[in-house]
Amino acid sequence: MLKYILSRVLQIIPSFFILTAVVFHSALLMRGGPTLPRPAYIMYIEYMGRVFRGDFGNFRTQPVLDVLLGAFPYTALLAFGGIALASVLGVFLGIVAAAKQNKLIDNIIMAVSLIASSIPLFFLAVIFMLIFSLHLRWLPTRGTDSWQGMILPIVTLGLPAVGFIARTSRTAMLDVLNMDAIKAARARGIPEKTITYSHAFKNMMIPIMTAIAVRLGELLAGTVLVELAFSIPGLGRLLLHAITFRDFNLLMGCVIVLGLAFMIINLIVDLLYVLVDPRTAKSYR
Amino acid sequence: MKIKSKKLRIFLSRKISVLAALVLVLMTFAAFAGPYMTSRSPYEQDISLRFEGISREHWLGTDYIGRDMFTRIIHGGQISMGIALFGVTIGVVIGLLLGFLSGYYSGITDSIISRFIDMLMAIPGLMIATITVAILGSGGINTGIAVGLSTIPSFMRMTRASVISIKETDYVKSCRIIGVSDIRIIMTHIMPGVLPLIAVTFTLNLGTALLIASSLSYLGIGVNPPTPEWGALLSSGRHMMLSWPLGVIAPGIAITLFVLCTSLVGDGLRDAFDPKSIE
Repeated sequence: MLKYILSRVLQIIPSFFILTAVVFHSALLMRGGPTLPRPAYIMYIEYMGRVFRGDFGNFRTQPVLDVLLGAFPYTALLAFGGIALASVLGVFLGIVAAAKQNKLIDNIIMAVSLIASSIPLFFLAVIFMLIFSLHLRWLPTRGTDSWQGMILPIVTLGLPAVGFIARTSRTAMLDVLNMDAIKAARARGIPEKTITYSHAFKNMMIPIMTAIAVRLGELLAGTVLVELAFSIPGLGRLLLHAITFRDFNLLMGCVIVLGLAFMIINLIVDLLYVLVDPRTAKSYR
Repeated sequence: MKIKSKKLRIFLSRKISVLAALVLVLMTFAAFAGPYMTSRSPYEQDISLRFEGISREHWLGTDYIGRDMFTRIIHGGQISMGIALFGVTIGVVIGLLLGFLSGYYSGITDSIISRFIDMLMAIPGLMIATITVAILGSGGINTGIAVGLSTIPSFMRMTRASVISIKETDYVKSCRIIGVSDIRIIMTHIMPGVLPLIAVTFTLNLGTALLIASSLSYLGIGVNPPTPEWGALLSSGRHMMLSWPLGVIAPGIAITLFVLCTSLVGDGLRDAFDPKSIE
């Protein structure tokens, strides 16, 4: 088990270098400079050397590292706010749906969560802005003017994940309720409420946590859409700047930070899988 | 033929999937045949008719320079669905190839391909597509390629898993013993077992692909206006959404409907082809 965890953690290192090398080389190639001063792989090694000393180069007049650090808190707040909202609401709805399996409320929750996970984030952002900002005038359309400004972006980002987490929670709950231990508890006459909320809940937490971690990656990717919609100066906006201004340093900086974030999230997912089912670690080569 | 009809029966018993399939067929027909049934152009401007409401002449009104919105949505459907189809086709070809290589030959080939796919799996599709467009540049073809790359991992994994399970069956083993060539084994014995699952993945990916493609256009790095791609339409409509909400709602609903229907049809197909449900 420990061996698996260690080797899985170390796996990030080659993945990180492959990802950055592929993006570095293809971006360099496509930029179409007539001749490179040095072979591309030498330039890559030099670049990574500088990166590890904290020098990501400059974007216009500012160091890329400062720009990245300035944008990071907005994206982190969005992603963690969104996943927190989605987890609480999703798990709650999933449990309710499972407890009332095949009743009307179950069908409604499942239908709504299916639709919620089909709506594109940018459409959801527009709908919320139309209703809450422009018609009701409750919340601002810009994300950074005041703290209320982050409410709509977080809700927008979290809502599609609610559907996914609700469906996973429902399945996990139904699986757990069919377990022998739960049947035994029921046979011993323990009240149904205690079974649902204390016995069953503990057993379903791990699959749900895995689902949440899986979703966190998607959510982080979605921040780029929400940041554009609500004018939030986060990492996603930086990535867009890098693309529109064709800025190499900024592009690489964003790829490094975001790539690392995705790999760490994925690592957490994999470790959670092992927690659910220790056999996963054994089958690992 | 009996099993086939059984599968069809399972699919037909899921009424919501059947409805979704009908909607998809209708949308596809409208998008690909519609443009030939009207003489109206999605680019034809008439400044005297700007921001017209819904009428018999203009089913979804007109935009800020008097272009007919319904015509633009129909043409946009052809572009959005076309890009999604193009992208997923790239994904299925490369995914199948990699899946067969790594599932059938195992060993070092498998290790390298699987590791690479694992790395890609860690990065969400939208991000893979965004970085691809950052490298290749925007435009319809590049958007399709970007979307296609993001669907490779799901096809590869699906193919690899089913190839491995079929490879271990007795009939494939005996084929090998009597000296049937690899190509022949793959084409006549393994492929038929893999294809149904690929069809399911293909359907599910179509929706995701369209979602990612329209997201790229919304971000301004996919298909650019005035091309009426659905994401681009929504993006240009959002600057005047208070005075003209139809400009964002119409393309938004079109995207949502397509994504919802593909996922319902995909689920229905999965139920039909899942060996466990054919009892």
